[in-house]
Amino acid sequence: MSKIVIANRKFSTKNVNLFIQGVLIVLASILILFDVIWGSDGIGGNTISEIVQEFTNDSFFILIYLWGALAAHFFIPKRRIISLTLNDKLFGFLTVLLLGVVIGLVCGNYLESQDNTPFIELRTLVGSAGFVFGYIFWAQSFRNTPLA
Amino acid sequence: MRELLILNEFGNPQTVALIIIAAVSFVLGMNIVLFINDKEDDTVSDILKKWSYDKFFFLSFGWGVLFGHFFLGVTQRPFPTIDHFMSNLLSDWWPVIVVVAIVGIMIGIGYFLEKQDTLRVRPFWHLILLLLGVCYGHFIWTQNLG
Repeated sequence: MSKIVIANRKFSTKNVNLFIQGVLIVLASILILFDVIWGSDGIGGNTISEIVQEFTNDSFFILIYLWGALAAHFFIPKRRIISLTLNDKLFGFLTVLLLGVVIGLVCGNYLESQDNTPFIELRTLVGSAGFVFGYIFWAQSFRNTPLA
Repeated sequence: MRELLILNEFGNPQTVALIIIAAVSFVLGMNIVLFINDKEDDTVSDILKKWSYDKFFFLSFGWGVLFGHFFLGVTQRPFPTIDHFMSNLLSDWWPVIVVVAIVGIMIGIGYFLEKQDTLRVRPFWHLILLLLGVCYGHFIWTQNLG
């Protein structure tokens, strides 16, 4: 128990934010470096873009929706965010996820009936739906931005 | 020979998928820890929000570019004659070079304006940057060239 408390205190220090920022930058740099290697090794079909695109052609179609929702969540904050009894961030995330599951089931059935053809229009629509739902239910506040 | 084998395994699409999933799971796990700890405003979302209203306002543009690049894509670029004047290698890579240049310029502007203390990004501009990014990823940095 005390170990957990100490670990929690360590995570709560002022420097943790800088540390997490560093972790994110290093992780992104590693992925970009790997992707350059994979892109120039002449094997083909093994870059991150191609793998992710392949994911979304079948079982992970809903990744498009999540990408749109995350775009609204990360970059478009709101003055008044939806807040119910549950922690507002968790509530928003669960709502967006539930809507995503519904959309995924509907689109999955439709795509299966269409022999898994990737439709640009459907992808745009699903991504936009993610963005709109993300903005309505899962937006962040303006706190800690210069606009606050 | 052995190095070649290792390189081959490293370039295996399954390894690539594993590395992507591992990276995403790592960020997710870290975010869960950051979410349930005592300190507020330290999750990955908060960091990305703070960055995007700060020196790294290119993030929304990059996010849009990746959306268009990963999920959309045209089968023929507008003005295909431009590509005919280039070598195969260059016509494959110029969209990447251009997007790296754009992002570099945006980071430079962000740092400059942050130092001048005149950087005021608004959500509307992030929306525009996102849409511009999606257009770039869809029309120019497309994966679906026939």
